[in-house]
Amino acid sequence: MRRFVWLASWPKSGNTWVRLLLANLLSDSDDPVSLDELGARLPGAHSSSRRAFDEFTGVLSAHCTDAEAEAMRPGAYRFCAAAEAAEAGDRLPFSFRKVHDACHDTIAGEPLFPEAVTAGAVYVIRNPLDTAVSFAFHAGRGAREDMTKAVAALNDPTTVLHREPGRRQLRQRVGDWSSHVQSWTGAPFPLLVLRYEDLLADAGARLAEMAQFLGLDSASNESRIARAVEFSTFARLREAEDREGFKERHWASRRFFRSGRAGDWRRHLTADQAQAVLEAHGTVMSAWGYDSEALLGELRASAASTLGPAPLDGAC
Amino acid sequence: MPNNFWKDAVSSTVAEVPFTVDADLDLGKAAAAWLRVAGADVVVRRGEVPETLAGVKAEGAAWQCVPGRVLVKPPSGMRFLVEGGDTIRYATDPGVDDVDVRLFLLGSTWGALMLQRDLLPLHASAVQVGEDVFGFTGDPGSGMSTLAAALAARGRGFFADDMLVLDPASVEPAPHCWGFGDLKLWPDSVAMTGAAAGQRIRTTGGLGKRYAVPFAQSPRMSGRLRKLYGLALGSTDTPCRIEKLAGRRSLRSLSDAVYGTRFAFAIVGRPRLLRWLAAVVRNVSVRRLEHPVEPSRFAAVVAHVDDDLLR
Repeated sequence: MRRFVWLASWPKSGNTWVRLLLANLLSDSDDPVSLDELGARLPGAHSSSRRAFDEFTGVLSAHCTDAEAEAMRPGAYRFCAAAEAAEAGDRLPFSFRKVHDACHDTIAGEPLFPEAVTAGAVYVIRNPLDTAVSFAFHAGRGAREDMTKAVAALNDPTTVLHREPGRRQLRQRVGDWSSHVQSWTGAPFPLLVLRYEDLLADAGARLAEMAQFLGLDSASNESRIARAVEFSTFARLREAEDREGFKERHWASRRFFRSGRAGDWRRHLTADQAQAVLEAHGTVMSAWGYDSEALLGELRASAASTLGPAPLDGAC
Repeated sequence: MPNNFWKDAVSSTVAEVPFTVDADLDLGKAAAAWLRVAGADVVVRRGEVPETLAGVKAEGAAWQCVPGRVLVKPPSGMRFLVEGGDTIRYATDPGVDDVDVRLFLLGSTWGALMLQRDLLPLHASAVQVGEDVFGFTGDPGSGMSTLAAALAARGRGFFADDMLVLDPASVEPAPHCWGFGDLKLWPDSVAMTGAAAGQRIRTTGGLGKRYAVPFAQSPRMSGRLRKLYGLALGSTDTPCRIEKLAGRRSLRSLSDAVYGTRFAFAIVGRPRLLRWLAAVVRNVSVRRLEHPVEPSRFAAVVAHVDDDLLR
């Protein structure tokens, strides 16, 4: 059986960037992997691909309720893994699956991501304040009401992606940010947690760490690591999106690769919005190195110096 | 363009249905022409269906296959056994509605039946102009049904949804094909295409998809497949593009369109299925239709495709 490495994150936490880093590392080419090639160049697929579900269950997902499809997903993964083993030849002993679901049991009580088909998981975690902003720009235009909706999604234990009629992927039960983090960091299989902010600070070191975790030969090949990082810089990805477009960009948003910075929330969230995130997720944030007490203090200090619920630096 | 304006102008050279069916449950409007009370080629009956098959040669998460028999186990307590290309037995847990049984019977189960009868089912929607049929395949959610319904709103005769059936033994000058499947649309697609929404496709679980009546319906169930468009979602900035495929790309596109590709290979056998596909692809114009996803650009996509149909 060819097993899977789940590339998991709450949406808009850097998952696509990590996939591009890996794709460029694995391709070992003089040219960067184009955005349109990402799906083809990184072995694997989206874990909620309806095409793969239909292929490996033999049933059209369009005829299934969300609950029925979810209950059938572990079985589909098992048959997919067995088929990949037969068809993969001498390539990697694993393939990747992008995931936004929390790591939970199906409604039938079975783990959604079976250990038997799991080689491990890479979990990308990002300051939820910035995740909220990125999510707001992904699903909309970043207006204040988009931010409010994003914060609500981040704090809602029932948050789902692709509930009908968003039908290109199966429904994904994402849940609130803290529960998502805890579900994956407590998963019963080998796990590497990557903080988005650490990737920003030193993408090469983090990519090497990831390659080592995955057992890739290129883990110690500094030139290949450096080239993959260079091919995946945010500036390059923005240029590529401007030039080629990007299928994963939601039609309602202006761009997929928008800012990429850490701390952007200060430009876009109101104090009330930021406080709602911090109050909901402070404990888990602190456990992963995001000093929620200091951020709350920053909010209070800012509130004392402003009159209304404007973004913290007034630059929205 | 008036609905069915060409109805009397064509003379078919293709049998209207490839076989007849005697069923003990309502199979809906799409199957009406296939039904016979007695002497039918295929019998559909409620009866004993095993949970598993012995000596399984190939299987997926919801099906098993041995020579001459296919067991299909969709969710929610339904089981179907397709035997010898002439019998379908079904069993359900208590409380399962016939509407749900019909949906899955006419889905994967029907696909298995077609394969046992040496017919090639494609996961496709289609419209018809005269005798010529134009099919639309693609990944789930790529807009196959919506596009066919929208073309019907421009006067093209709606011909098939979910399944288009080809006769791989009769492919010249173009493959004989049969339309199958009532139109099924999500509520937003109903609004975009002018179709009339009917009952939900499932009675349980609150699934929002509904049977729908297209603006224009082809009066026939058979024709010749002239073009097969593989729908691909482009980036938001992509204009609608239609590219004629050749060689391996056209074969790959057709292969991807086979209904239940994995069990098709298991039932028919890989070499034989590949021969079928090669024969079909030589006689159909296979095209890639890349289109943007914004709803506001949908009308332009439909117009572009409509222009290309008879070009």
